[in-house]
Amino acid sequence: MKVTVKLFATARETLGTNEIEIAVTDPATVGALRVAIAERYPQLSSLVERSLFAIDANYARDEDPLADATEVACILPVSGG
Amino acid sequence: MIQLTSEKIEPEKIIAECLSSAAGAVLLFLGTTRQFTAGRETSFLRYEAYESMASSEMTKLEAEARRRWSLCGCAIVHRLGEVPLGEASVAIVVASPHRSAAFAAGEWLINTLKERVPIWKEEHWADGTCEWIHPDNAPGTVVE
Repeated sequence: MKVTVKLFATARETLGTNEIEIAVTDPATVGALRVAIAERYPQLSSLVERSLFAIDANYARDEDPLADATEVACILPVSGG
Repeated sequence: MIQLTSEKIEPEKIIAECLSSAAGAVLLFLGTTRQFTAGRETSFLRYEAYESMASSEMTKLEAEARRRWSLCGCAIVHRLGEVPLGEASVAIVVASPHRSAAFAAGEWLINTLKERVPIWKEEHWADGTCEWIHPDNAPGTVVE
């Protein structure tokens, strides 16, 4: 399946876009998405490996499925405050 | 009270939101733009957020703090965009009947905000370079 992923901070600037569309092999989970992004964009792989993902604005686990997700986001290590 | 804003933070207004006759202690924390970090000079900071999720995560933090401590007021405000030297990027106000709860809740709120809330800081150094900050320590763990 194809998944649209929102990007922020370094990921957004490195790829020059607010979101990417990426193909994820079945079973399409957050973990499979992480691997797909790291393979397609090796310049982001080390950051993506230590990022979290959000499904519909809630933190997700690697085993969580993407099938019913409306909005998926890559949450690079945060630095607010 | 939860707010993301591109305007300068005005602590007195946030404190006023939290004042009540139930409070015996009102604590204000401000996180401000520091000029020197490990000898390197900053000229300003810029913050970006995944705004819908940042708001919902901050709302969860307030709810969790109210469950854990006896609070009669709680406000978390984060500024986005450019924050000049000496100005506040984040304000947390906690009001409670007794001071121990306010100190504990205030420290927990800023520590947990820095782990969980999807906001990113871009350091603009005085030498003209800039970089997004993505701390090496493990990002916030998934919260039930």
